[in-house]
Amino acid sequence: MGAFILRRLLQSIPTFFGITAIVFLLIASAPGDPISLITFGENQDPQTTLELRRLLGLDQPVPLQYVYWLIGNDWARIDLDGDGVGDINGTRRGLLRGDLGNSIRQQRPVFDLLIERIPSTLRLTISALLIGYGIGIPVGVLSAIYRGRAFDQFARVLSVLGNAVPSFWLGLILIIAFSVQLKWLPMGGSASPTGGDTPLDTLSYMIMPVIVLSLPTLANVSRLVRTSVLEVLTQDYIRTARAKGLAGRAVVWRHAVRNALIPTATFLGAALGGLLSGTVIVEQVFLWSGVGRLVVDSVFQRDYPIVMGSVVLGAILFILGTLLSDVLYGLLDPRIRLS
Amino acid sequence: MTTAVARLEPPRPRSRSLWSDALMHIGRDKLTLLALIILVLMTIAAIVSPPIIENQLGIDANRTRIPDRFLAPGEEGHWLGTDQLGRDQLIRLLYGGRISLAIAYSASAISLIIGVTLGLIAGYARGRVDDAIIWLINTVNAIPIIFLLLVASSLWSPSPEMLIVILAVLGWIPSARLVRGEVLSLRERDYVLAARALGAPTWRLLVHHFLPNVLPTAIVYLSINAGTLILLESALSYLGVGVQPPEPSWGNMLTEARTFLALGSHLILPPGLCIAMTVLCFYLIGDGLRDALDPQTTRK
Repeated sequence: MGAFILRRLLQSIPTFFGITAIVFLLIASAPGDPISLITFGENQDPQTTLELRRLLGLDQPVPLQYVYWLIGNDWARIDLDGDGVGDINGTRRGLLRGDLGNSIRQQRPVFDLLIERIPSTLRLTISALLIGYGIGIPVGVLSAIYRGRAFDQFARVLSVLGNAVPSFWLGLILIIAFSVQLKWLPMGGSASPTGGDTPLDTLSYMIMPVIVLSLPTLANVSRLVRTSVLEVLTQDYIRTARAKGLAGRAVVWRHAVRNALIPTATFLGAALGGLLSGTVIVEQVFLWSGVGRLVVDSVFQRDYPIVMGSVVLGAILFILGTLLSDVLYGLLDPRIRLS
Repeated sequence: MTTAVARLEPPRPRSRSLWSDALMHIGRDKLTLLALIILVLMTIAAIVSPPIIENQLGIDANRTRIPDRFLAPGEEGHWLGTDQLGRDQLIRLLYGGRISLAIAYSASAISLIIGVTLGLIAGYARGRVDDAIIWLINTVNAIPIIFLLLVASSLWSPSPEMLIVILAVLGWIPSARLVRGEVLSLRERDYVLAARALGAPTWRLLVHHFLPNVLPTAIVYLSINAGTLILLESALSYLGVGVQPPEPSWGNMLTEARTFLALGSHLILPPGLCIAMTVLCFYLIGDGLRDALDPQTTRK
């Protein structure tokens, strides 16, 4: 098992570097001069601008800028006055050493900004993941057992709708229903501005975003479970179990469901990726201050260090999620490990 | 050389059995048929009807009339009411549909062409080329797509044409992966071996032997992808980096409606229903096509 995990970890290294390269190239190819974002306007002294450009390494060729971004430039000498002799050392430590640079607008390390926001985003995603799996699995199993009956039809419609209904629209509908009309739940935010929330208050902020966020996961998980339970039910060992005289219920729950759940483990990685994308929109709809909103805000403010940092963070989470689901799959099904 | 090869090959039966089977299957599949009809009607309505309605009711899509703000549906000839600038909601919905559908259709078609081409090449060439394409697929796939789209469309100011390019360039991954898988299994078949033994050039193998066999998968994917693209485009427009106001799209109409949530809740329902309905139709058609194009289900 250790070798399996190690192999998968090694495989994700080229992917990781690919992601950083794509993100960097995307931002580097952006039209407009990043300096103008910092200096505002043309009244700036050209000499200072030039020095700033050299200090930030923007006068260097793109591949070198990429290397600096990855491993930092504190080992390189920067030639501030352009006389060909290095004057000072760089200050950045680079992405690989946990330095994502400083936010342009907020003048704070991007790493800190992200770390601050991660817990509130995780609160949403993990709750949505739990609810999505927690409801999706039983719905899928029941839907397979009662194949073709009313419950199955209902569940299948729900699973198609769960993917087709845009999350921001569903969010708006919920806000109109539960906040504007019924006044049961807060319209948005993650805590009351004055503080002093009871745990129940905190929960009330989470209800609507989590419902919206969990729906696609719920839909996909129930669909996946339904298909794989139906498939497992046709296997020989199920017939054997029936032939032994086991009750129908025991056959389904003890023999079929346990094996049918294995494919859902592989879906975990994709689900996590989907949830991360989902939070970007859901956090915007419910004004939830998590990583997703930070990304959207930074995109509008052209605060590229934050954007780059959060894309890399999202990708790392996705890679870890996929890794986790592969490991789970390997643990649950020995055949995967051996091949 | 090519003609010699063509002569040596046994004459291929000109039957279209898979496709005619599929057509018959869809003819019996009421749900898919319904989805197809709704989608065709919506497309026609979005293309044809805005000018007609504008003419009939004497309304201009972008004409703003402050006294007519937030009219409820049905008031003063506005069937779906008016928005915060007094613009007719129905006309904007139809024009929005025009843009959303145009983006979905063309981006989905372009991404399919990229995906099928790369998938064919990767599956056929194997080795280094395959490794490179797989690496690209895994890499792009690992970045949550909405992040990439957000960055890309905020960097290059999003005209509808640019949105099509961005969505297409970032949306080809699943189709390439599917096609590659199919080609990997196809290339070991006897008839491919036979064709190769007869000296068929690579392009011939790709175009005549692989392409027709991956086409069913590709078409199913085309439909489902179009649905996903509608969702992504509307999400981008909702976030403000997609179609830019005053040009209406289903997504950005909801952004504007959110600001006036309490005043104009009639502005929320129609655009969202349109998005959900269209996506649902695309998904159902995709599912129906999958059943129809699967020889195992059609022969039953």
